[in-house]
Amino acid sequence: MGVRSTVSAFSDDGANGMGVGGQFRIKFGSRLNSDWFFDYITTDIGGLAKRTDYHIGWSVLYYPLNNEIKKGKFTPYILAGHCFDYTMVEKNNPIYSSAVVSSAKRFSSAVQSGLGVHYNLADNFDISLTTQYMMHLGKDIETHVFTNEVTGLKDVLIKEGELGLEGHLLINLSMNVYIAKLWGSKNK
Amino acid sequence: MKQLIAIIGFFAFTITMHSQEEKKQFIHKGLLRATTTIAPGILLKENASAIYLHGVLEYYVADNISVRGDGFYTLNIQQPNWQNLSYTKNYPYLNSNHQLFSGFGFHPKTKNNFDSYCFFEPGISFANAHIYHSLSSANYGFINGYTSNHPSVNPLVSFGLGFNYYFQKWFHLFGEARYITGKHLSGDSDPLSLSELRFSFGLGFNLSVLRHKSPS
Repeated sequence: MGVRSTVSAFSDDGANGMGVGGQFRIKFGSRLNSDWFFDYITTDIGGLAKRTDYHIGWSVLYYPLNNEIKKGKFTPYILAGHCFDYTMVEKNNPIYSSAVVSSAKRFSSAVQSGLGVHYNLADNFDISLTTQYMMHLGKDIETHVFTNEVTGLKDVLIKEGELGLEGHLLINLSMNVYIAKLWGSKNK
Repeated sequence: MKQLIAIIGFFAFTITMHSQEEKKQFIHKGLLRATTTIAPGILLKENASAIYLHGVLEYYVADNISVRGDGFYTLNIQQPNWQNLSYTKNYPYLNSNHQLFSGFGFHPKTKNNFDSYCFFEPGISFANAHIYHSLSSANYGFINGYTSNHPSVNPLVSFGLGFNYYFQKWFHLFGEARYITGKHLSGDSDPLSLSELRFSFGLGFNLSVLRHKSPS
């Protein structure tokens, strides 16, 4: 079980978000692990709007190389999975904005895949670094920062689009404690 | 001043006396520590200072690795000076900044009761920003003002350094400094930086949850 910090990059609105979350892992085999996670991510869009993302999902981790869990060992893995998401974009000061739409929200489903590595600081503790690309299927929410020609101030346009694919890169740093061995032999 | 020197001298004497007897690392797997103290902080980008009630619960999962949780309850945040108001504007500022963190600490090996560490903790902020809406004019100066509330929950990251000195079986002295980064985004007010440098110092309580041989 563990906690994690997340950076969301290369999304369509061009801003980077920061998030916090947690996960628990259940290992099904010597080379197969599963990760069940929740993330809460917020993004500042140019100081004009706030984007909030909630992710809940799971991933399968496969260890193609070293799979021995031991202090001082690096264990790289490939991951792939699926999640459900809720996204909301809100203007910071809607009463001062000339644009009509002040917020938009959507539910979506996503698939993700990427690479990661565990490093065991102890036999029962590891830190993990994961980079994964998450592709959402749902109604697109577009944001566009523009300069109001009348006031000369910057403003943001929020637009709900059609059903489509939208992706972003997630980088997670997590810390995990091994709690119990639920089944299997004593050999790792 | 004399009392402060006497207190510092007492701790220095106690630490020196115990250092001469210690030959074995005190921290070990199964050690549980808890503490509560007052923590001052400096909000670096908002140019304000704050004071928090800080609680820590930490458990050593291995001889040099611990998992910990920290909670900060805002006691006071320095408020801006509203006297120099010239024009009609909105002034956002932080009114409260309660925080929860959870992460791990790495403790280098030692040969005595002194325990230095570095830690990394993701966290979450339950903050409330106020916007002071000022109504002024160039001719008449300040006319009127009111504040509106903008609470929000936002993610944070913190890391830092610290030390513990276990001078008794049940008690220890601790000190730490941490850097916190994050933003207060409420969706209906301008963003506020939560970047902060925070310090904690005080006495803590510790006990061994697992059976462990005490250092001689």
